[in-house]
Amino acid sequence: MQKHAITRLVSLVIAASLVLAACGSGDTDSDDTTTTASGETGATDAPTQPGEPVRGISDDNVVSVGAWIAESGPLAVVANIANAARLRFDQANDEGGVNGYTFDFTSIDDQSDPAQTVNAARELWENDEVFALVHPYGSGGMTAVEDYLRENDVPTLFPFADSRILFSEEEGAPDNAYGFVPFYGDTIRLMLEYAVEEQGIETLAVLHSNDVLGEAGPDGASAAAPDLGLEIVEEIGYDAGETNFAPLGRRVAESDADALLVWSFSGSTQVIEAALESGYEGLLVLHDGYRGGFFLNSLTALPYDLEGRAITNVWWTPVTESDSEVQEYVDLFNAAYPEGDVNLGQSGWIAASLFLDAVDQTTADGSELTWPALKATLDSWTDEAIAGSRGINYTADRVGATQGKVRLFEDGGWVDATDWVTYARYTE
Amino acid sequence: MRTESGASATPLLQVEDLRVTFGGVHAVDGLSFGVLVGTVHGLIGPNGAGKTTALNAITGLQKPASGSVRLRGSELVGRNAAAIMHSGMTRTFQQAQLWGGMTVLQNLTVPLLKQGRQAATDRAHKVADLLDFVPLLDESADELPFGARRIVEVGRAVMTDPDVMLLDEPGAGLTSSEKTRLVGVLRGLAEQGMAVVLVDHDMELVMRASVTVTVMDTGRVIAEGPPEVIRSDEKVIDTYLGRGEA
Amino acid sequence: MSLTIQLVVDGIIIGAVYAVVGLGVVIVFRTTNVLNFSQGAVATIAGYLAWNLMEGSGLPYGVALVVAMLVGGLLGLAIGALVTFVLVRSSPLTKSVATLGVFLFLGWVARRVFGDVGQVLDRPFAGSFEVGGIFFSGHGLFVAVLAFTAIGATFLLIEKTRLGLAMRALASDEETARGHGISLVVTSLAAWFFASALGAGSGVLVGSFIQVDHSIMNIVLLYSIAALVVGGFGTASGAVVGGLAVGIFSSLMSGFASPSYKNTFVFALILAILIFRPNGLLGKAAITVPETVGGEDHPRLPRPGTWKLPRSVLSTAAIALLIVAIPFLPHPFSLLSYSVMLATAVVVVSLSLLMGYSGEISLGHGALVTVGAYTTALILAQFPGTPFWIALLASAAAAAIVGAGLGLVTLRLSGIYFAIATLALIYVVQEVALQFREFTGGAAGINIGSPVLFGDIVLTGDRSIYYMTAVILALVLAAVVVLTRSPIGQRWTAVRDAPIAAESSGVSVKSNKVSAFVVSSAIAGLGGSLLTYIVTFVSPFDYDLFYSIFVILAVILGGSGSWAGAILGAAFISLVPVALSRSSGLTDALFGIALVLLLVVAPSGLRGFVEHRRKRAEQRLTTFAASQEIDGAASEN
Repeated sequence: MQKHAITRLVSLVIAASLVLAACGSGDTDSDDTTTTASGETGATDAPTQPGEPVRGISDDNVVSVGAWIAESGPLAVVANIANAARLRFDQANDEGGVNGYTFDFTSIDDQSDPAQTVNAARELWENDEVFALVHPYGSGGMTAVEDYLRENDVPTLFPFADSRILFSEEEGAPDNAYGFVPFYGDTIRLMLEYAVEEQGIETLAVLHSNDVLGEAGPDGASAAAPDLGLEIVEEIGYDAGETNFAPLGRRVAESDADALLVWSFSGSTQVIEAALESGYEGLLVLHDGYRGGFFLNSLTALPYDLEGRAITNVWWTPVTESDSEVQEYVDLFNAAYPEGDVNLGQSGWIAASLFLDAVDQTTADGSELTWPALKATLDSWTDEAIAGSRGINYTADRVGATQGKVRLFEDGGWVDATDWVTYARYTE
Repeated sequence: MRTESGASATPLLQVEDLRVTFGGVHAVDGLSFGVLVGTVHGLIGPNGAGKTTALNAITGLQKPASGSVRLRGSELVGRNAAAIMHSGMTRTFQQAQLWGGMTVLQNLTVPLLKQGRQAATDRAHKVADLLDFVPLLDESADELPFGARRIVEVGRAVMTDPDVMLLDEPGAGLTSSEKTRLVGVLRGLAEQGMAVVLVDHDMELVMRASVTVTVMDTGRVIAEGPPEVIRSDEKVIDTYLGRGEA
Repeated sequence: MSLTIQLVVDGIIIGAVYAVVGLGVVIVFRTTNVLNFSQGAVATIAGYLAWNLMEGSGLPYGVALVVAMLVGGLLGLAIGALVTFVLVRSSPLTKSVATLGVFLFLGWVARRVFGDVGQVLDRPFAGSFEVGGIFFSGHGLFVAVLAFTAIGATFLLIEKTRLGLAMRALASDEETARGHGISLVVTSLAAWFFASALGAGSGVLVGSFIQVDHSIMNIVLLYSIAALVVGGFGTASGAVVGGLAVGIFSSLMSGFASPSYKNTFVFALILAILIFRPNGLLGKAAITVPETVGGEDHPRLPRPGTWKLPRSVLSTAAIALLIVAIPFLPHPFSLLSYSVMLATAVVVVSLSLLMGYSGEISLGHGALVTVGAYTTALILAQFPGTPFWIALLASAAAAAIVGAGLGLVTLRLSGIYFAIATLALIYVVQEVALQFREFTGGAAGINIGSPVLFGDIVLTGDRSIYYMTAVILALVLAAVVVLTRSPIGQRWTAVRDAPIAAESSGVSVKSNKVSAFVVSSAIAGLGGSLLTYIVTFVSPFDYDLFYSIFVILAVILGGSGSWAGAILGAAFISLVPVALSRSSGLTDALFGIALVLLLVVAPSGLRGFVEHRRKRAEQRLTTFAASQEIDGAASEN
């Protein structure tokens, strides 16, 4: 029958063309080799010869960098960070670049879903072939991606995640990773030290989310507590989907702890409120997110008087201070994103500034920009302070931020409770 | 119970005081009858008399409120339908329940799957021969004409060589020649030792096929005996005339 | 003691909210037998709308609440109209699946219109006060008062109004009710409106009590379904009793044990009640499917396929060749995505098998995939050199065990009730993965390094993983074809096509339903194992309710019982999100619309479409041949 014959012919043609195509085309995917990507593509410590192409830098000296940053999903407020970073790179490009180099920043929305983070990382490293990652965001995602970054020696600069993930003491820091966030445990210790010394607390309750970020809370508290003579009387972990906060607040109130450490992103203000509603009267110890913007607003919106009753910490100068470099950022950001959260975005600006600064230092004398050269620059930093950051020191470990400050809630905002203090780990 | 020869015999299948209730309705209200080996036993009654419900209760698809059903002395009430089939009782349904996605042959072999494909297929051929539908074996079940579906379903019920076979309205939709053939088949099966319980609206069909007839109304037996006797029983006539049924 | 009282009070407040949401679900369910999965999305939109009105236009709480309820009611009316008119010939189960599509779509709408960020609504009464050592939050009381008012109003509607009477009549006996002149259409639509308004109101309440975001109302909905199961599915008083019971129970659990465990307990509770007392504490209506004659079999999804052997060997070879050749052709997505597609096809096959042979909807196949994925991840994390076939088999076995467990306990359930039990499974598995942190890594999940094929052969590079997955898929398909033609497959077909006849022919419906579920679970677990090899990472949330819904979409798209359909469906649900990834959320909208459209237009999917065309072609040929004969005969005369 004719129909049958045509089907047969078409199938044969398709099959033949497939076979031909298979013989012809090359392969653009990572291959069955056992060498890592660095062996193939050049992001090693071996210096490249001048004139050889550098991975992630185009012929006309456009440096390609990227990050995964949630722009949708439950942590969508974090999009401000991507915006701020992009703003800084645009500013550099508008000023003619840095020593002849201009910059292309790609941010991929991973919706704070670790499974998507893995895809995003592969896409940036294998498809977009970036020079380096600059300020990828999220502790959950970092946990998922850690192995991949290690195996491929991906240059990972200034990630916003709990440093104990990438810079863990057991495994040691990956060669090509340079941190941004101090160990959360150190920031917790800093705040608890202040609370013990200045406010005389003796008992602590810990309220945290059951995720990678949240677990840093009780871990940090229990690490610091023995040294400070602090007793942890209550520890409550809740899930992201919690709908009933009142019982948690009751338990906090029942514990009658002198201080309450709240370590979570979603639901944190609700649990604080629940505790206050139950008559809790102790000191609130809060993560750095509360320094301003979204979180601070939700805190001040609560109908409770928190004067002198809440502390937080920062490791860079927040936007409320009149530091000139910081104000430059504030003006630019508010002009570009009037609806945005200038507080939340700040870390993106700082990270971008750190990168540009490193590029500048590397290439100011006319040297070519390569990863080993940049790495050498970073390795030399002992007390770098750009765009509000302070005390960036990569010679000890590569975590970077070595100083922090405790802030106290007063008059509806924060005031310095301490001066800049170097974290205990770096003074020993 | 008396057989044709006049001697009494223990029924193969004995239903005793069966009661089935739905909500407040007593669909079967104290039904008792016995079926002898090698007989075709008719069960008739007007609509709503409870025949199908009784059938369901006997074959394990409906849980009776009380009463007993004994096959060769062992109690069937409380067992599920599959177990009852394995005990030697099969049935057909008012709407012939063939499996449309399969061929007639496959439909027939399902009850005998445990015995292996070859054995089941051989038996299926025998049954199809007996019931005279061999040409249909490879047809898809959902493409069969109505009368053929019924015969195939009877065939399926015969596959396991049951002791008792209960047929629910097998005559519905058959032509009169098909009905005649059915009568012949049922009598033939009875002669080979099977007990057949035949439920049908068609009085003629039941009378021609059966050796004994039980008449039900409102859930219980109102008359029982050979067809000629039943035909002229006053209670039966009243029931049917009163309801306008034939 | 005072803590206990405090916790009970808290439980009553949140329980009242669960009850209101539950009432919304019950009203629609009783009147139309449809389980409205989109209720949560409507509530979310209402909550955000109220926030918008209060923040943007400065309207007071009460006004915003009323407006939001009206809008919610209208939205519900639209959904009800879709289900009643457009899907008029579909079974209630199919309609419920359609509301899943609406749920996806509305979720996207809410994110698009209102943004991603959670918002807290201003409260008319803030702060708290103390009475006799018990703290009452002002707003909590306010919410409780509103919730109980809504409950009261609902009961008034049901008991005292004509509409309520009509709804009750329809619920108890549709034919009789209609015979007495009660309009099914009007009553159904009124039920949808009222129920959605109620749901919308609850969204506003939750928004001010906790916050409005894109996940919270779905969680509340889940708790309300738990409440309905506890109280007795399908009764209004059951919704209230159940809601309060769940609220108090979870509150006490949070207060005395751990907030984390309470989820586990609530979902385990759902399963326990579904097993032992499916009528719930109060329910009277029997919800289990009687295995008796009389009632029609529970309405199924569209006509199932039968895994026919491919008609044309060459077209099969062409497709197979295409799959083999993909790594060498220019492909728009990373090879990784194609590997995921093939692994997803395995999962789709598993659900296709289940839906095809049992007619049940499983909302929980994601849970089985998760079990398989974690099994492999745990094995590889502990014993990195494990040969792949051991990990694959172990995953299949683990998933099969879970499937057997669920199958056995849900034997008497079918339709909606079975679907809910499978939904509960998703959350139970998620909770187990979260709680046993030392083994499973908790929320962070498990990372595996480069997976290994055997011993020394490391599976680096996407190509080897791709081919491994392709081979496994081929083996699975071959196994399915063989299985469906085996005596087991015949028994399954018998149970599917006429379960009563099957039972009467010695084929146990129960054990075959379980065996179908076990096989389906094993294959799903296998898919999960493959996914772990490909993605090298697993977390408790990867294969969640959304994933399960997408797999259902894939099965419906391809048509159950078709291997090509399974691959096509899998390609759709795994490649489209990758294509759309930079404009996220659009996937949900697209899939939601696709699901509804398919159910309306082509419920048997691609396979059904192809078969339909073939039949038409054959008919035309037969008619043509017949007319030739007639002509021939005529010309002979």
